[in-house]
Amino acid sequence: MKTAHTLLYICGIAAAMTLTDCTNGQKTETTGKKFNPTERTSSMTGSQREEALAAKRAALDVNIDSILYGHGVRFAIVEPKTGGDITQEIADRISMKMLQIASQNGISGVGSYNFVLGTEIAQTGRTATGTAPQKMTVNYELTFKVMNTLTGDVYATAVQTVTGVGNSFAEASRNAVKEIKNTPEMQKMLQTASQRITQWYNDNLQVIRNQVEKAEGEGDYALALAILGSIPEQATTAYRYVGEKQGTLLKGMLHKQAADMLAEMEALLASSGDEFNPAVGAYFGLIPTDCPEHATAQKLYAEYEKKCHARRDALEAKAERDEQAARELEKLKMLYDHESELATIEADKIKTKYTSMASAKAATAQASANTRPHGLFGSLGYAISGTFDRIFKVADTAGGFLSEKLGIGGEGEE
Amino acid sequence: MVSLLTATALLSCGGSQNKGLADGATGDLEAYESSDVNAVVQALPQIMVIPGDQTLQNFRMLRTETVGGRSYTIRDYKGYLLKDDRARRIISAIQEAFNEQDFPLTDFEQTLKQLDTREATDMADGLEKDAKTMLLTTARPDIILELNYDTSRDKISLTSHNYNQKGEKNISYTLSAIDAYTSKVIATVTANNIKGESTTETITADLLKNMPDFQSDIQKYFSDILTRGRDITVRIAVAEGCNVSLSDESIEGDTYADWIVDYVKTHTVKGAYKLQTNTDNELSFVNCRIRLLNDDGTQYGVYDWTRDLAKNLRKNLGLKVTNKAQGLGEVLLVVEKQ
Repeated sequence: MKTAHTLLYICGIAAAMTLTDCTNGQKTETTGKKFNPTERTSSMTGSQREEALAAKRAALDVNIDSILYGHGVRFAIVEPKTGGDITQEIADRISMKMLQIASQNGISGVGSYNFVLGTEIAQTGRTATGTAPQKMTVNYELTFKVMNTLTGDVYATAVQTVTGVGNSFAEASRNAVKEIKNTPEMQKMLQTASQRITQWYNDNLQVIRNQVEKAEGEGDYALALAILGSIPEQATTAYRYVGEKQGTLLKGMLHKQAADMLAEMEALLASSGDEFNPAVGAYFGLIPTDCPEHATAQKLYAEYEKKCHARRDALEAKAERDEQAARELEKLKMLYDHESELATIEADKIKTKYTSMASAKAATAQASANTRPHGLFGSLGYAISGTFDRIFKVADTAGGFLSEKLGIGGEGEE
Repeated sequence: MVSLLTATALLSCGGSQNKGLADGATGDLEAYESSDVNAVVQALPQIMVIPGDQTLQNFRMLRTETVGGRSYTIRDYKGYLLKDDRARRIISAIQEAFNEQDFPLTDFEQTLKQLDTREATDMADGLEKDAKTMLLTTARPDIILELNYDTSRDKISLTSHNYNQKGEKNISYTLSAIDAYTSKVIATVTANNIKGESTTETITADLLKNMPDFQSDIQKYFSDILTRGRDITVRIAVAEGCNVSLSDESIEGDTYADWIVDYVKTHTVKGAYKLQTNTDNELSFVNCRIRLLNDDGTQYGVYDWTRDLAKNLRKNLGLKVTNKAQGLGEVLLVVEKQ
């Protein structure tokens, strides 16, 4: 009895230990706090929310007016100096970024010779983190400025600090360029610069005149036109000069280039033969009528036109002939198709007739084959039966012959 | 009868042996949900074994690079994992020991692969990546298990043999559990010059022998969090180009720094904090203890603590601030240009 009690006690302890082990040591810390989350609530009414959302969306929309202020102003982008961290690739990327920002702010082009947008770069920090994987960081301070190259005046500046992160210092430098943004400071700088450039054009019309006339005097019409082209429409006083001068410069440039145009035209004529090429006409159109080259060009163009017309006529005649031949061919084809159809119908008829005959013959043969018995006794019986058949057949024939000869039997008798 | 009870109890523990891996799983979500909240379980810290610098050095995966006259230490973790064939086995033994305590560790190698994959998919999805996001795209455990080991064979010695007469090596290792936010060492296990033929087997055997004490120290750290609140670092910093200094006078009459220090005093558990840095541009505190739960049992973490501070600074002092809190224990509040 005592042993049984001891055994019972040991088993009880074992069961308790086993059940305790089942919890895998997960002891629940009693904090006395239950999870009973309360939902976030808002004091806004439905209409208040709609109103607030509309205001928020409006604040996020791009203000078109704010990006049109620079319309017509042009800068040249100056690439930053290379060296140290700034490789040619990085310099190119920075230039592209400046161009993007300028165009986002309504700067209409990069063709100016008088104004430039450039940047100076200073490395302000460089670190390697203790993280895994390790990251490299590079910090740059970029000072953007818009300058007048004629006077050396700086019209506006903006500073941007960027940080690049990468798995190497080179990657970090590349990523730092991506961080250059069209910030409000950049927008303000470009706006200020645009206004001051516009003002400069109005105030310095004589300087522009001198530049244009100098270029014109040297026969550099392209440069003179480019200088005119850089004058923004907002600079109204200076822009009037564009209207006055542009036609003369364009004419001068065309006169200067007439010989070149003629040479280009001749080269095209040689390669085109009697095939029509619209570029020939374009070159001819660019040669002014009061140029000595015009007469030659006109003669060549007339000959070319003649050749093109002749080729066109020949092609048209050939097309007409081809069309007629096609019509004849169509007729013949239709006739052939009709006869071919009739022949097919006839062939089908004959085919049907012979098919029916063949079928009937085959059916008879099959029926005959089915009546013939099989096996030794069957064959023997069939032979005997056949013999009797033949005897009766001979007897019938002979009987008929005799009846016919003797005049026995009559109609209706079998 | 007793035997039957015992058998039933045993079966209830391992009675799912005949079922499939998932079919055999059991659980009671309702019971779990209705039990008390455990703040450590609620925001379960991520623990990861990461090789230490000494080990990287032994495998030539730690080098110094000089750029622009400054030296930088470059660590190649991926290279190390490929080169050290013992690492996987030692780390697996540690992971298994934690698994047995129902605390699965986050795998370092897998995390690195996952980060690469995420970087590629983010690029394919055209996601915006700023410098800070890229900087944080790393393995960021809350507790780092830093593993360092070396053997006499790893060192070149002119005065002693690398092996003893039995062909055994001298093996040393250290495994330290470090709180990633406070840099406090929570637990450590170390062994010097233990003899053995196989480095992996010797380290693994010794580690497993010491693991209960090591895990007990980590559990004490968790208990300490539950008792005294989470230990965090707090930084209030001024953004570049900001027109406000922390030593400027606020509308309350005292400086911004004074106001912030008063806030920290009253919003830490039993006022536990230590001021570390006090400059015009930065105030930093260490050993700050914050509560873990809201009244409704939801988490109260560093983000919430920073959010409350930010709300107060905006409302009471009119400061424009940004919450940059990270992880479980890093508060950063940036005072922006006003």
